[in-house]
Amino acid sequence: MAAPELDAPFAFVVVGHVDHGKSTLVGRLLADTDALPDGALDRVRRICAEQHKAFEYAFLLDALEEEQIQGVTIDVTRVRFGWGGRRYVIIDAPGHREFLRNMITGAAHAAAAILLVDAQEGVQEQSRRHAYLVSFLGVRSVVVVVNKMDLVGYSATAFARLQDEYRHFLATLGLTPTAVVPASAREGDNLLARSSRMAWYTGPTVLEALAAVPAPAAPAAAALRLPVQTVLKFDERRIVAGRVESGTLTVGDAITVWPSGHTAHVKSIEAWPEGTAPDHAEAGRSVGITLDDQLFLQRGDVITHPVSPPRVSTVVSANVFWLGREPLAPGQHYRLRTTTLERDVSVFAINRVMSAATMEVLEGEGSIPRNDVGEVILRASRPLVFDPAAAVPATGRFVLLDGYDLVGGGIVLEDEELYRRPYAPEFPRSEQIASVETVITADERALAYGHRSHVLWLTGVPGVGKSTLARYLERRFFSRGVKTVVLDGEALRLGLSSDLKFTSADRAEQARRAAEVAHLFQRAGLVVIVALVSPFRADREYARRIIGAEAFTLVYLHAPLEVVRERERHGLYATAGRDDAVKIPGVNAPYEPPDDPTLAFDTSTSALAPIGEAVIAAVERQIR
Amino acid sequence: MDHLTTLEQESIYILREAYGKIPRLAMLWSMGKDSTALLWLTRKAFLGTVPYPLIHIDTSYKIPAMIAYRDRVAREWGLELIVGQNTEALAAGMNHTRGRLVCCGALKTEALRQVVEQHRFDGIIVGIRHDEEGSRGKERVFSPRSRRAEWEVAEQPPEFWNQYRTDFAPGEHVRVHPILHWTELDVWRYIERERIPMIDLYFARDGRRYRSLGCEPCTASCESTATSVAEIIEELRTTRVAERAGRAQDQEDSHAMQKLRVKGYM
Repeated sequence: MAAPELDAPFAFVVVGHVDHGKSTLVGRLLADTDALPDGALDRVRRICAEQHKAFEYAFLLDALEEEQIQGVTIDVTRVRFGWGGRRYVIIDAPGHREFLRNMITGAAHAAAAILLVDAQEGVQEQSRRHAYLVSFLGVRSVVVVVNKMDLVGYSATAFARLQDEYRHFLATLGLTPTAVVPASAREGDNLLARSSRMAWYTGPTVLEALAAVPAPAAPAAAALRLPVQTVLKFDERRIVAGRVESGTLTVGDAITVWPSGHTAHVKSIEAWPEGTAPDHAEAGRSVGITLDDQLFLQRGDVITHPVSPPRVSTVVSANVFWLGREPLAPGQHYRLRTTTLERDVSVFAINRVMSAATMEVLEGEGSIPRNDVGEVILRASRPLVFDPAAAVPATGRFVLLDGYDLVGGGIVLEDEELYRRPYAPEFPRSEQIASVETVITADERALAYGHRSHVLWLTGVPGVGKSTLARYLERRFFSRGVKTVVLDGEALRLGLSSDLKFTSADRAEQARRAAEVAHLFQRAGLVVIVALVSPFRADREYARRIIGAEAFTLVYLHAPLEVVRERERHGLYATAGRDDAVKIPGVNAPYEPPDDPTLAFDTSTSALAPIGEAVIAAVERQIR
Repeated sequence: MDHLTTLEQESIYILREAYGKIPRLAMLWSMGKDSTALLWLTRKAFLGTVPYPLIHIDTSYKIPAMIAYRDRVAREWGLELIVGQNTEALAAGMNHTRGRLVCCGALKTEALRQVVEQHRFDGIIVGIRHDEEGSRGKERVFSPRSRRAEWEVAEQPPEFWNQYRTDFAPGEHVRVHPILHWTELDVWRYIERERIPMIDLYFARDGRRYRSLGCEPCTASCESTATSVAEIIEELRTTRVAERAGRAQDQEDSHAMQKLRVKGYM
């Protein structure tokens, strides 16, 4: 066997379409690098003879009886060899789509991937899907091996054509192979030594290409993330156990626990045997710590430094790869796990569905089929603690479980709009509550009231005229026999939202409450007029989603700032000029104008009545 | 972190996952190098405590020195030890001459199944490694076992991003494999670094030592001059002999270990 070094071995996964020769490549590499124990080749010769087959290098890998009889890799095999002073673990992954979950299991532990393509068959479905998956799993270094060059007569043209096609596809995934090597695993061409049968090729051999892949760099100074695994209480010490997933933890550090937001200091890092306790722990360390404050901590809590908090939200936007037998569909419930945190989630929306084999958007597809991918928004019953994967990979990934089974993997997307609203820990959140269906249907109500229900959402900066328009509309609807109610931002603040201030976060929460209340009234059959600054697109979008686009009209009121200043009744604009603590959307706080309002009016140029009548005409068309 | 520390920290993480997620847990201890290193890792993970019982499946054919070592270490380290034995099969005269796979099935697999059933364990921690032999190479870190304790080798759950299947239907149990990703050499280097006490059957006497421990009739020693952990490491660096070459049951059939293991063998 090869001389082992003390360094970690470099882990490669070999992926590609079924029968393109992955196991043969790995078996041949083992044989040629002299990495096999005595008797291994004899054993394979014996098995091949028993089954009346020619010698199969793949049998060095495919140890299961079923694998050898069917000539297909079912599950992952890991083999080791040394070459040129480097130790390798090669992970041989199955290519058959039926065993994709096994391929993922193998690929997730790799630092780099060999993407294997059959020179004769060319780029096939799993050649592309596997490439997507290795990049999804976080593998960024890839080497392409074009195998079975013997079957195309070692043709430079055939190689060039295939190389172009595959490189083009990989580029769509943001992958640039470090080498594309023409080879024949069975014949041993271009594995270790350069093959004389492909003199036209001047690039590296397979092993030279592997040797040239750089070891993954240790992450630079990153934010501390210590998810709590378990709390140990064997003696008087209460030890919080978990692995540092990112950053460094030092004794004496001030820490915050999420989602509670409680703070404490690290009193000690405990260890056994005695005298081995370190004063700090870097990423990858499984630690047991004590705190100076007896906080109540549980599995799934995340410890961070106060200066670098994670996202805490009941909503998360992610790319999901789906393995479940049943498609991932809106409204479905799953269990989500990110590091040690687990939550029940439901699929709130599916923004798009893509084929993992072609990377093309599947138009009109409302759910994610098995082995494909999509961009989804999930809602949790209780707050999730996470990071966008681009910022902190470990806490930016999750898996989905359906019953006992792991059915999908997700990567958290950077989505400012969704996450802007911070979770306020003092507010109660509903847990495990299913929506209650009403006994009376919407159709019955429409018949009884003479109109369908609707939500008319007026948005715009303070002073633009939302409340004035709302009152005008209320009177006019009432006189036309429409059952109506106004939800005015100011009125809400007197009661329902008396705890909220005028920060961006509180305005977002105010909008969420208004949306929920409007939804209740709308379900009761009313035409609801909401007059609310609602400065964030995401919050208005939330209202549209829960109510349903067919019963939702967004009206955007705008006017030049000078006019609005003049008109605003509470002197807010004057105060904002003097006091930085007063935040006014559109002045010193964000206001995001709607991209596509149903209606938009400039209240400085149009009078109240024409605006009001235009709105009524539009809504009447929808409710009668 | 150096390689050994990375392996160690990963194993501690897995042990704590098992402890945090699985209600009734036990660990198999064969007194061999792997499960003894695993016992050491347990004490590291739980800061000196061993928070679950250890199971030894005693076939009654073990090398006598193993039993003496077992009882001494259990006493010194204050371990809770469960000894499992298929007394019925032994009373009926089971031994390896009736077929090695039959004997292993009765005295090891069935004995283990009985212990799991009797104590209603939900999880059994086992010190197997991928590089030992082919069928173990296919194992998961958290490997579900059906009600009959069988291993559904073609239907294993995916494992990625350190997420394991840790929830099971009633009646099923899980085998947890915290040192699956270690090699034989990694284990010996770790034993050297941590100065973990080892049974002396591993050290050469009169030019022979055991490389893998099992039942006396079916386990052969190998030629060796290695009398210390450092010398064993030196020997393993250059050997071309497979680790389990001295284990007779492995050689019974081309797929002997798979056949044993799908039935619940460790």
